[in-house]
Amino acid sequence: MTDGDMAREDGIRADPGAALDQVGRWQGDVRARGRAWWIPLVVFGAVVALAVPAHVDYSDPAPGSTESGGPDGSIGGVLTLVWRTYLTPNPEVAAVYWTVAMVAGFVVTGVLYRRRSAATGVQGPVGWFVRTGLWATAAMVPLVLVPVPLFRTTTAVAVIAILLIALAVKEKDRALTVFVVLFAAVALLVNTYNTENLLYRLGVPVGRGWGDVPNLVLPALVLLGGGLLAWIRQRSTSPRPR
Amino acid sequence: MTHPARNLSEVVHQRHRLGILTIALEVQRVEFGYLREALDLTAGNLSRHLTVLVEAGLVRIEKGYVGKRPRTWVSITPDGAGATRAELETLRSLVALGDTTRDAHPQ
Repeated sequence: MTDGDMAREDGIRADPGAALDQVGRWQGDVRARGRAWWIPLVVFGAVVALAVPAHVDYSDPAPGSTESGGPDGSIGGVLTLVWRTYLTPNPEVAAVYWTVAMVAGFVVTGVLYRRRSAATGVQGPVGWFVRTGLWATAAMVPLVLVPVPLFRTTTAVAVIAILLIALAVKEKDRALTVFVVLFAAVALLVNTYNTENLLYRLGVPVGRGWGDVPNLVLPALVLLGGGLLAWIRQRSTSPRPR
Repeated sequence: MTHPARNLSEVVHQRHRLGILTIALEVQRVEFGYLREALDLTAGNLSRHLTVLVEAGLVRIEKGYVGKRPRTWVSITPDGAGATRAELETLRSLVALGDTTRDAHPQ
């Protein structure tokens, strides 16, 4: 050990307050470098947004009804044709989508975190997030297999919210904590209330068969918007990757 | 009552080793190059400190490649996490003791 090392060691004993300040700076710097929580926000925002087609009811209108089945308009018409041809619009389809998409979401999040850590030299607390997410998704599988209306379409949104809260605790980031509390409130809303009613009160009509869609679009927009803001913030405040 | 300074671990309280441990405690794993830069150490000095910590079972070393570039990753063990938290707690106790002493003997 050099004289300098010994002097610094004595310094820790002599001035523990300064040592704690230095520890705080090390911790702050490494957290800022390893922070990449825009990744799960964007990935799961996409997972929720891509669920929309699986939640549109493409069934034929009731006999005697003058309404056309599925969404109006040419793009909606094409979508209706595709989904009627290849998928049966029932809860099992949505459940299978969620199971596959959630697994893919956690795997992609893990891969992107690892790629980023290769560039920055710091890997944030993502391993447990991916593992816990896969376990939570596995716990949802029985709901896929049992053909009863247990699988509320937005259950997966609640699972995402819970895991993001846990991520915020691990990341020790105030901005992420505030954001995930907001997202959890949205997740609670879409799991307990049909937001189509809100749109109806605001005078925004929702087409027949699209009643479930606002319950997905709202959390998807919150996640994608939060992910975009987080990406901009982290690019402007984090040290440049080496 | 024993003075809190007696609780300082000889392995952990050295400034650079405390730096390695506190940084590793915050993240899943950290690369050798980041530690060298953050702690302003030469590669040789950092290696020596890491060897001490590995031998004490406080950190784990993992070697791999990113493309063709070799990378060395450091992660903290459960023992290392416990020792680091204990060390930081002791430092806080020392700070609190200093504050109490100053309050008891104002100049």
